[in-house]
Amino acid sequence: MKSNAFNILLVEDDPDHAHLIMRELKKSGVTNNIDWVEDGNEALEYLQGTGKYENKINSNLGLILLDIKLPKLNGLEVLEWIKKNSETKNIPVVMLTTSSDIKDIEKSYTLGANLYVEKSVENFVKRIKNIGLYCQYLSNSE
Amino acid sequence: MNDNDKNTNSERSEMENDDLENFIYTISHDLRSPLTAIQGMTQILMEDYEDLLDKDGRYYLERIDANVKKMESLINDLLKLSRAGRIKSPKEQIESLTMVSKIIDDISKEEGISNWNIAIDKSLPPVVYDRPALNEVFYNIIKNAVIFMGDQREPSIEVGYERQDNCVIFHVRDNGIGIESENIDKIFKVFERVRDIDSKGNGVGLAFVKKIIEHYGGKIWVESSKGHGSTFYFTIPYMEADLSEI
Repeated sequence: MKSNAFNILLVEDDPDHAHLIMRELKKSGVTNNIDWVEDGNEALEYLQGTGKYENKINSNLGLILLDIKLPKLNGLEVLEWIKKNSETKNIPVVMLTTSSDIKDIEKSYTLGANLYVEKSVENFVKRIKNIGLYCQYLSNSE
Repeated sequence: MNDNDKNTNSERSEMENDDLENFIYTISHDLRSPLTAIQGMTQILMEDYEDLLDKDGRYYLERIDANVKKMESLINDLLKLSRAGRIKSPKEQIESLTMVSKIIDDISKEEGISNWNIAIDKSLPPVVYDRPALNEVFYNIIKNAVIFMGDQREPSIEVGYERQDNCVIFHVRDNGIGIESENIDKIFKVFERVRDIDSKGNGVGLAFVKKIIEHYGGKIWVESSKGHGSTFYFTIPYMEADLSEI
């Protein structure tokens, strides 16, 4: 592995899901720093370096894990912003959601999501491990 | 009915559809979300903390795991039921013989059955229908025949059809446990489990099938008596420029 230094942003409103995601990513060998924000507005503040992230803009962001149903600003709105903004549009975004709604899947890919992963009840942990593999692939191709 | 009435009805119907969509979305996200967390944490306990638990502890974890899966299955069935009457795939010509043969193979593997007497009429006709919907119809009816076979020594399932002037009537006949006459009307209602057997079903399958069949202008009914098997019938109406005569 050449480098695994990029940061990961996790946008997830459910603290139990956030805990599981971060735990399983670490367990599957992801050593990158993971920053966790709990709603869409906070995600945009993080990305723009505003609000409580004033002057803390993260220039080493390499992956965003984005839930869809989020308070204040939903995940699709956040995704749209990310992919329209020249500073962030090249950052890979993985939609990570309990929604299996075909409209959410289509909209996500239309807006530029790189992957859509459904948090299925039965395979949640396994799917997080697969995202871990994707993180490692990104690290290797840096 | 004038145009204004039609528009009002159409708007109302659109609003009802939107409400239903929101309901489905809420079900799929809000109910699944906590289940996903429970299941994930249960799995962690089972995989990483197993050594710290005694036999009883492991048993209770397995029960949590099993019940979470059952709950997910219920939610998925409800979602399917809610979508049955609204989501349409384009109609296409379907070789019903190929479809039924594959479904029987799949169910045989799922249920681990062999040496059953399964007879499919080799002349099952092509029909013009919504493919995923017809697959669900055959799958649910045939699966029910398997589940409710009971301890029959010579299990038998037969799939056949009959042509009528305006439709094809398919049937699935079994020699399973059958249905008491007073329960026949309940069998197509959601969450009704009238047959005294511990089945894997949630009581949604036949309600789902009925909704699909009626949505496409057909009918479904059953002839059965307790201890003497059941025959489920359903109709597929001939469509405009039907290809079933090909």
